[in-house]
Amino acid sequence: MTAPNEGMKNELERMSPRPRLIDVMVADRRDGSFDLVYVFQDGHGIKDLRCVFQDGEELESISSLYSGALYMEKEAAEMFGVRFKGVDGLFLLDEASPKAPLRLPRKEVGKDG
Amino acid sequence: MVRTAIVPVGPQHAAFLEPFHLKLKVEEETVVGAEMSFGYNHRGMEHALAQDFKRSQYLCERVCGICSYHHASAYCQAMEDLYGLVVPDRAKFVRIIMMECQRLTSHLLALGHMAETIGYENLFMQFFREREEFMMLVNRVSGGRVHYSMNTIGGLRKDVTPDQLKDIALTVDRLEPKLLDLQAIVRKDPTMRKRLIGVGRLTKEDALDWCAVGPTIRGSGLEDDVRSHGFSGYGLDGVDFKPIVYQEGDCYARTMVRMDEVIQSLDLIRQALNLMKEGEVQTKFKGNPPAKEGYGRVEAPRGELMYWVRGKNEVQLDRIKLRTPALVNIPAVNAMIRGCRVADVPCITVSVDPCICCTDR
Amino acid sequence: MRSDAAVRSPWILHFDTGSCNGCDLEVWALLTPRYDVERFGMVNKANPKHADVLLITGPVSLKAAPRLKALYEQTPEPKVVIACGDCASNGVPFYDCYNVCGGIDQVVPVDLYVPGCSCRPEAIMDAVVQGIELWRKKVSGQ
Repeated sequence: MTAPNEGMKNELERMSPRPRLIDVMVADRRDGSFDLVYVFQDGHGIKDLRCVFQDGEELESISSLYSGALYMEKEAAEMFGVRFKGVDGLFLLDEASPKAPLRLPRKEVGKDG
Repeated sequence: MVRTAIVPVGPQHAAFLEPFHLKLKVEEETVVGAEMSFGYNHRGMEHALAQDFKRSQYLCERVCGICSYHHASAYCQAMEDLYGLVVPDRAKFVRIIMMECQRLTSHLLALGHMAETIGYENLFMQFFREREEFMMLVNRVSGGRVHYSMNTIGGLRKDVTPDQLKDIALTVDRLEPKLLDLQAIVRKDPTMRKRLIGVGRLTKEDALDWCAVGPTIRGSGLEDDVRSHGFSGYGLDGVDFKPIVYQEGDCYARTMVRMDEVIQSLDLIRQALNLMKEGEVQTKFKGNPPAKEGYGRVEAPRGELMYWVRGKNEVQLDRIKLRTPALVNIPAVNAMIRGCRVADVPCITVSVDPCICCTDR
Repeated sequence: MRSDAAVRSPWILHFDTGSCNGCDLEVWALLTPRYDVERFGMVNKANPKHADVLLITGPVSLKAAPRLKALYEQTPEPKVVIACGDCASNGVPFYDCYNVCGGIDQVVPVDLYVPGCSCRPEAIMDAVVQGIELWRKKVSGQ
């Protein structure tokens, strides 16, 4: 099974010259799925690559392309309780902290949220 | 056979202002690797900032006290992008002035911190003496020494008075010779040169690999400054800006980038004062943030600071993400530290100007 | 014997438990030429075993709380704890953050509170001078 961000990773790898990666961001869509956004420098502006993935899916890590991405992925994994391949361990949170603190409460079925 | 030992540094350590834990793997005197642990300053700001978009104008300054105005500007820019507001030119110029004032205080702090780390107490005190002048200047202009609270979504909360502008111009003129003196010291002083040249090299490739930003990459020969991409007022007609780049990539190059940027900031403040015209300082907006997205990027003293906001037609924001410069600069220490001596570790760490409250949020 | 000890100058330990750095900057401003707290005989020392006055900033994040406790326990008696800033006093700007204890006094006993966000150097200096008095009293056993 391929990870939902496999294509994005390949696209990022093919880019030439190598862009400066700005951030790896995750946002909760409140329906059990999440946005994954890669932001990078493009000329004088910024560009982003996006995909949507379901809760529980394992994502491909881009820390092999950018070492600095490891910490961004660690943060995203911790804040939302999502999984990146080969990324684990506590980064910002402590054992005493709440788990996945940025997950939003789920929409109730049949209601407009 | 050389045994590998682990040397823990921190979380509470004389070389760092803030709690941050470093585990050094050393073979005799040489560092072969490092493991960092963060989170001592993690409060949960991304959660708190998403609770009320109006309160966040106040709260986002509390993410970091050293670059508080840059945080406020980045947040306001992101919200302006989301609302599609056009900020009046006068507000943009005032933002330039205040951002450069804060860059001065921050860079002088970083330079002083560097001097203290290499044991040059005298220079440390000199940097802090000049820094205090700028702290008092921003206090006279904004009413706060650390948190200015001048920005609002769409511009400024209130206009600056002609007296305050004159005060800024006079202070800049008065302090320029003193800062030029300090620049000459950093350039020529054998203590600085011997202690910093060739220490903690970061190559161009490594800088890109670790996604580093700000003076850290400009010291490695990469010409990347958000100010030259023309955010906020920096893109306005008449503002002349060219990033300062050093090729060597060592601690000395990074220190020199900061030192030269201090002088450059004085120039930018002057430019903004000259180009400023009378006019409105705030664009009004209505309603809660729409379900759109907005980016806000500024060049904070440590490098590019990015805010990403997404509204949902409520007082709460759907998501607010901060990418602070320290989050990428501090891991880049991993690349600089390999092969250096234990005594150089505080130097290298301080040369990226670590800001833990930005990293942890 | 104990009152002899009070003649010496108290030393400061500064620890950041998750503040925004604003108060930390002001603590540094305090140690440098303009405010120069050294004229009251106080020197910033990074070692808790040498410290007499603890200047603590920040709302105490959950990860820093055990470290703060350890620092407090390592500091020899008598000691004075000063909470610098609003967030250190009651955690206010960060009250709805999920990872803070809300104020230093939730973790260790506090002697003096400094108001302000961020607190001004003059206010910290005032607290420090009061702290010296308090410390001298504690040393002489009053």
